[in-house]
Amino acid sequence: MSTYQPSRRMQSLTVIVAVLLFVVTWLALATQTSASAASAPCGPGDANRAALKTVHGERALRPCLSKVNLKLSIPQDGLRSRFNVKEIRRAGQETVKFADGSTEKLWHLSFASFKVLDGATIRTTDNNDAQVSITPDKEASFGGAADSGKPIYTDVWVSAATFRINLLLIGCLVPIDVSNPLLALVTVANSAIPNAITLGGCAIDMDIRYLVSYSDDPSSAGNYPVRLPNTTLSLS
Amino acid sequence: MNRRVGRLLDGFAAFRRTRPFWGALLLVAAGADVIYFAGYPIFFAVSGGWNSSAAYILGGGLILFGLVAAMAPIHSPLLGVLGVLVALAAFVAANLGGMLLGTLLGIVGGSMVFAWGEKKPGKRQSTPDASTPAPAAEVVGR
Repeated sequence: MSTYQPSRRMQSLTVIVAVLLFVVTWLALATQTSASAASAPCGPGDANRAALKTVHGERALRPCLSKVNLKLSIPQDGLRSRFNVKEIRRAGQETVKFADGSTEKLWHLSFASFKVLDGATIRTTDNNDAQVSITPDKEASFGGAADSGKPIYTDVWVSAATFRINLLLIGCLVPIDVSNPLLALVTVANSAIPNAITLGGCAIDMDIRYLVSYSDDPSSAGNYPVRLPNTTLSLS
Repeated sequence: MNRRVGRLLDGFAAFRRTRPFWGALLLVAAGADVIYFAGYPIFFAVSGGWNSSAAYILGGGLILFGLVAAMAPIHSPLLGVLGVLVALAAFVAANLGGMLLGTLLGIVGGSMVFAWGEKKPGKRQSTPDASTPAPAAEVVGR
């Protein structure tokens, strides 16, 4: 053996340390994998998935829900209409299960379209530092008509919501909580005369736990559930 | 100056000839390739479980075995076999072993490390003296 190499013992030691390091790192990460598999997001066997049904067509949904809220806010700016919502229905209060096994009573709302006319902000409750601002040139819409003309409905499950809508004679002056009986009245009207009532509003605050858009005849060409023509999205 | 450079080159040549240099270099390159093509930032890889960290573990293993093969050449057969095995595992677990290139480099490098035999550290191998009689018989094999 030449003088350019460490001693035989040192070489053996180096190899043993290297192999041990490799094996230990491998095992450490393999253990981490099995630990994360054991704590599956919705419990063993997905037992903690929520059991939800849509208002239209009673489609069964089994989402795995975290407790992070999506907060949608449109602040008031005088009596100017800043959004409108078509065919809003309040399906009632439902007990919904979360991934951690806990439950909460959420209000279930449904609408055929929701248009932001001026500007809205969206943020999640797990990050208070950042929010997305939606500033449409004319309007940004959620839902609306699919390519076939059939509506794309959106159902939301909210833990809290407050609207200022141009309802009856109260205008935008009085905030209406999601539990307000007036929304039951609107729901009855929408069921009696479908596709008839579009409400304008000045402000909204919604704590959304879950939302889903669906249609009997989904679009394949261009009319999708979220439409943001000439809309500026900014992160702040 | 020239003598200094010459000494350095001689030193490097001696270094290279006394260890599985090229095989080890290929193993290191294979590891770097496997990690590069994984495309995961290391912090995400560490927190994301085996699926995202496999490239760092296997690529890191190839680099480790390559470096150790250069430091501990007497164990090069073992390190060569380990290098080939890790390169094969990388093909399954780490983005086709760094788009196949890492696995190929690892197999070739590992094989070279496995098959390496030490040469004399001098500039040139000495040629046998014609006057020296050849051995009557050689023992072939081990």
